[in-house]
Amino acid sequence: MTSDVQLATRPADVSARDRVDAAKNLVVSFVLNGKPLSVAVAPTELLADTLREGLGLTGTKVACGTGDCGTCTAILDGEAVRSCLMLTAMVAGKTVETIEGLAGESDIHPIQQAFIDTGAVQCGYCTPGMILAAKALLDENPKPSADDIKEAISGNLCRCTGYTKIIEAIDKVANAVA
Amino acid sequence: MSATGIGAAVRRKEDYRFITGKGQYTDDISRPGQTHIHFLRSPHAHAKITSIDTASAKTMPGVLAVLTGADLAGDKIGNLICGWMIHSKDGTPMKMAPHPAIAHGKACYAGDPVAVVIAETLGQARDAAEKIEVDYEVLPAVVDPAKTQEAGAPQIHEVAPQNTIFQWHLGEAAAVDAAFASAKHVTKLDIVNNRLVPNAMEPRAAIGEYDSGTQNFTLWNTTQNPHVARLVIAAFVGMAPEHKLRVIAPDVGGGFGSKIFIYPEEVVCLWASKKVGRPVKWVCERAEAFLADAHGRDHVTHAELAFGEGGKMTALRAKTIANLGAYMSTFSSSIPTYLYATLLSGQYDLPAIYCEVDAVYTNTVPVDAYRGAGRPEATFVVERLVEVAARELHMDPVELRRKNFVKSFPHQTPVIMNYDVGDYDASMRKAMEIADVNGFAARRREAEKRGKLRGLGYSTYIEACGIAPSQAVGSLGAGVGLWESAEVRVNPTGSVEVLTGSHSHGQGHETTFAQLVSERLGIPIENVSIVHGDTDKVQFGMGTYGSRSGAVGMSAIVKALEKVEAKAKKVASHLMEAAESDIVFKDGQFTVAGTDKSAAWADVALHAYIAHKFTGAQLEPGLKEGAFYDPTNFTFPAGCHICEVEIDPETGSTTIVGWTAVDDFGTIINPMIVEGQVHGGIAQGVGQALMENAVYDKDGQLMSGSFMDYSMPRAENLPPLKIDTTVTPCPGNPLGIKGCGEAGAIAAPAAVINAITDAIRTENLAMPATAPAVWAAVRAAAPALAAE
Amino acid sequence: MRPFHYERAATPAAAVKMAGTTPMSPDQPSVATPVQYLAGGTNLLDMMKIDVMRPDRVVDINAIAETRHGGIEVSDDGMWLGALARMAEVAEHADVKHRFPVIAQSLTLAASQQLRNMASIGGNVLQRTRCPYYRDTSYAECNKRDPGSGCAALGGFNRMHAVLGTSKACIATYPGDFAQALIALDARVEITGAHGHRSMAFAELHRRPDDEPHMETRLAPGELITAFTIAALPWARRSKYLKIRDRESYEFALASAAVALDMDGDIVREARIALGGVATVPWRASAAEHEIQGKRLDERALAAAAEAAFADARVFEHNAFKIALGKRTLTRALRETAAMET
Repeated sequence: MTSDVQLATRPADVSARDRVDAAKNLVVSFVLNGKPLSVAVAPTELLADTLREGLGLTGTKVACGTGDCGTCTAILDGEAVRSCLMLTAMVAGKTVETIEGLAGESDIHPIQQAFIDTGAVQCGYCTPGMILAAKALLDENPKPSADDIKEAISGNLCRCTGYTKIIEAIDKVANAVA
Repeated sequence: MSATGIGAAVRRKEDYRFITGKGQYTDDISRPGQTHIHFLRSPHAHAKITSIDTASAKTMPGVLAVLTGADLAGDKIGNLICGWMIHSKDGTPMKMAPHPAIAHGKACYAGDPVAVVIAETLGQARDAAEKIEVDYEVLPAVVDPAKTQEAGAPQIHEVAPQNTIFQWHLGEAAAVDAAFASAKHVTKLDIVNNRLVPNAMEPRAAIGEYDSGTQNFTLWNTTQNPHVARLVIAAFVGMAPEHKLRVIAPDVGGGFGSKIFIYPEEVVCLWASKKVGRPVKWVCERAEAFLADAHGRDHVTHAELAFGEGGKMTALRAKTIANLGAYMSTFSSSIPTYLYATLLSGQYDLPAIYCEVDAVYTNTVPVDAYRGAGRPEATFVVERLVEVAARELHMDPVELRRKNFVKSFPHQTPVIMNYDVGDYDASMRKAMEIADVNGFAARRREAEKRGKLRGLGYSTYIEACGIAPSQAVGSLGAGVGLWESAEVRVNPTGSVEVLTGSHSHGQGHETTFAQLVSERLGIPIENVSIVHGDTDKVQFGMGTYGSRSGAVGMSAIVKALEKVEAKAKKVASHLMEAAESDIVFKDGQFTVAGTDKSAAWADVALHAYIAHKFTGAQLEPGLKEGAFYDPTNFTFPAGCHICEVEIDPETGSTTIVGWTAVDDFGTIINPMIVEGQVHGGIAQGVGQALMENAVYDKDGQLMSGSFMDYSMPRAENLPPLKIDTTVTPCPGNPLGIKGCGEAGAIAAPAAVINAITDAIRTENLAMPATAPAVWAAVRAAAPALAAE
Repeated sequence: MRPFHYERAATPAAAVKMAGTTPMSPDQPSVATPVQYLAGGTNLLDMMKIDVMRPDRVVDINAIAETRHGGIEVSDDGMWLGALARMAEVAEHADVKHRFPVIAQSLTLAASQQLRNMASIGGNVLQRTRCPYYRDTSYAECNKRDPGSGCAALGGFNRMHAVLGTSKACIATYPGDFAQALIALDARVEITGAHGHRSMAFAELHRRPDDEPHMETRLAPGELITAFTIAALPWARRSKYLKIRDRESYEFALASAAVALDMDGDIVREARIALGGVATVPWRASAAEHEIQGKRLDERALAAAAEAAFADARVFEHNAFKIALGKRTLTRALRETAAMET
């Protein structure tokens, strides 16, 4: 049914209980940060690992691996998702945005600028996920309330900032005079 | 004040790489040919390891080596150590048990590494680890610090009978007893300071690499103090001579103390890299981090505060049991002693203090410094006692505090510290004004109409930062000096690199340190780079913790800058053919007094290097100076935090509706960064007070071992914070800095609990004050308030 | 994660057919079913990463979201929710919020925005318990994972465990929120399998642990939830989900109540109550409903309902607080629901 997934033959040893790294027998095509590409992955491969290890886009972080912290946030077809709980196979035919795709050729994104201007960055580890969660929010709801902002980033942990300046940064973008 | 100098809210120079995803953390680094290591950890809290069979694991695909504690011992790799000697009151030294990087013969906590697998991929390493057959003889475990010293409790280490590491004390027992005997009022509290998991967002990671050609080791590591790591791994673990080991701490994603320590994993990665002849990479997973990172706090305390006439404090005594876990971590012994009992005077003029501390082993993850480290525990004891005393004495908690504040400086406390400067009442007054304390009664009545309980809580905290005068800490048992180093390298074009022994893992040193240089040298901040975190680049330094980078690290830069300036004036005098004493340096320009001769900074820098205007006999070429700065005293940041809560008595749910912090950090370099530090500290303190708790079951299994089970503060848990400052510059260092990194975490827990107990009118409430706990306390104290 | 064979299905029929090619025993623990359907993956992939679930085959059914089964249909007769609709889509749907508020609230109060964007509602009702002894395979004792092995939670740290519907074999709490809302609105669940389509009352889907905690639902191996249906009952609009947690966001419930009331003035004509966070399965509190039906919702009736809801509760070492908390949650939910403007 889908032209963008090509299933190779089933690996011979898949039923064996001994785990081995499965062959990269799946070719997945998707649009990443505006550019179409195809990657060969194992069925088990998670999107976060494809981005970090396969494609060298290490802005996506994995701080928990269980979907609880939001450092692995990516934007899939316009919505913020967890790339650590998503098989790369699942993004076939879809559009993925990561932090590396946010800045334009000459300018950084207004959310990125607001994070700098308000002092919303400390150690920087949660920052890409926070910015992407904020972008997904503002793309859908350009004038969010403070509660909307808190809800949008409630799945993103930050241990440094106490969230205050992050909320301020997002609010600043939303309420900037155009 | 210039736009980029001291006091300006300069945007952070480091941010561009973080907001674009270009930060380079240890896990982002891949070395050619790197292999992956998996640590097999003991599932039991206490067990004899009777045998380990690695034969079938070694035959698994991709496996390069399977190593155990026996292999480590066979290679004469030394144990991990605790670097601060504490003596018990009977004069005996602390009972430091051997701590091998891989358990040998016995596992002492659930999570203790028992074997490692190095393989081509992480998946292969994990698969092979499942084939390692470990025979355990499970032993009874003890996790409760209050029970580990009991007769019949399982003994964890041979060297420590009754699991007691030391029984230490500080202060004058006789004077305290006398004061209590004649007291008009005594307030008593039993306090548990809950165990916390630091949970920096970046999990720890290490890459060990051995170059057989040069016999050099390199370690990429998530550490707050790369030189100390190198020193310990070289001198105590014995991995390699210090000059053959390079430690690199690239971008580090938060530390909060947990990345100070020298852990088993980095030692094993280095050792294994030589064994397999290839780089070995370890990245901690979050579930593993809950078992592999040192925890914080975990005190059980009984404390009493004596009063004479009219609410005057006369003495304080405390008896604390401090849980240090299964092994003594790097600085664990100093936390519940010299970083705790020395702060029990708080902001108060307390004539007599006596504190006894028993440090104990349990079958739990080792416990060491976590943001605040001892000082939050002390502040919680003092500020809870004061608040409860005010209620018992029917006094205004503000008046009781004011009556007892230290008002003249310097002030010698009975517990070592000599407070240099402060104005505690000024901070409190300002905080009360911002928090609209006068309007509280009306807000409380309004809340009552809605069926809600309102409470207001204060925390007037003090901390000892700027750690620390080396000779003083040496006399107290420290194994190292706690000075800091800096080197200022001026390039021929006039741009500047500062090599600092401090380390930034979120604090923004690349900006604040550059602000100092920009202001002092009058050059654009863009022309300054801060270099840190690489032992091959930077001279020996002590790293970042204890709010020391401003007070100590920047002071070292000031010293180096003074030397650079002095040298530059010499160069300028040759360049402009004037007497050195006539050279004036201001705003990046050298001028000759009384003339119109001038030379720009960059010209002088260039001439320092081309050396055309002076001979070698007159002046050394070049412009590069180093300095070591050893502080003469601790610094004493202090302030007042006021927390206002509203509680739903039906559910016990607490909402923080207002937070005011007025802190005296001395001179502030960058107010935006300082605010962020205060915000983050408060968030961690609120987390401790309301939700965070590391819970063990009776068998020694950590039950709160994931973000699902260990509640971290999220965006919705924190109120808007009102932050302000008062300033009494610190007289002890050239910039007047006191430090700000830990204040929030130190002040916040007492403010929250004082507010909640004010609202529910009972003191019987332990941290974390979760909704069910608050509801139970309300019901026990005032059944009518708590609907069933 | 262990290797598996990955396939994609674009229709429920295709999915069921793919799954049917692997023989599956009806007695196998739910968690050990060798073929798993993959929708949002938020629970399945988590369970696979921690090695509790080790399917040989994963059938990716996300393409079904392109069909009717990814949609939401609201009419005068009620509502039909395709199982592949995402939690966020349902939670943010204007008609759902307005006409079936308990549904929207139960979804909004669960997880985080990112997870709600990913997770399907069909998968949501099947999410596995958070019992730490179940989730950590280093504990040998877990009857849910390994029938007959015992229950480590009984004598362990059981603050988060259930007080209703427990058995000697298992006390694990059902972790979800949406399921309680479905029960409060008498929802039915549509299922397709190798033997065709069927439907059942949603309240029948989950099985109490009894002697077989490894049998979590009444789904036969290979069966797939395709939709939920909710009739436009008179109490749907006056419905509410109240959730009490250790912190206000992003947390599983300590206690929750889904309540729907049909009021005649201040008299309760009809009531539906389902409890969460306190029970082994999404829990319909029929005895509590009985206490208030036909009555004025005064303090006495509220107290009687709360008593009845927890009359059969059984507490363990660390979770006694859940009875009092559960009662308070229920009475508040009833009071607030009765006060709703509809």
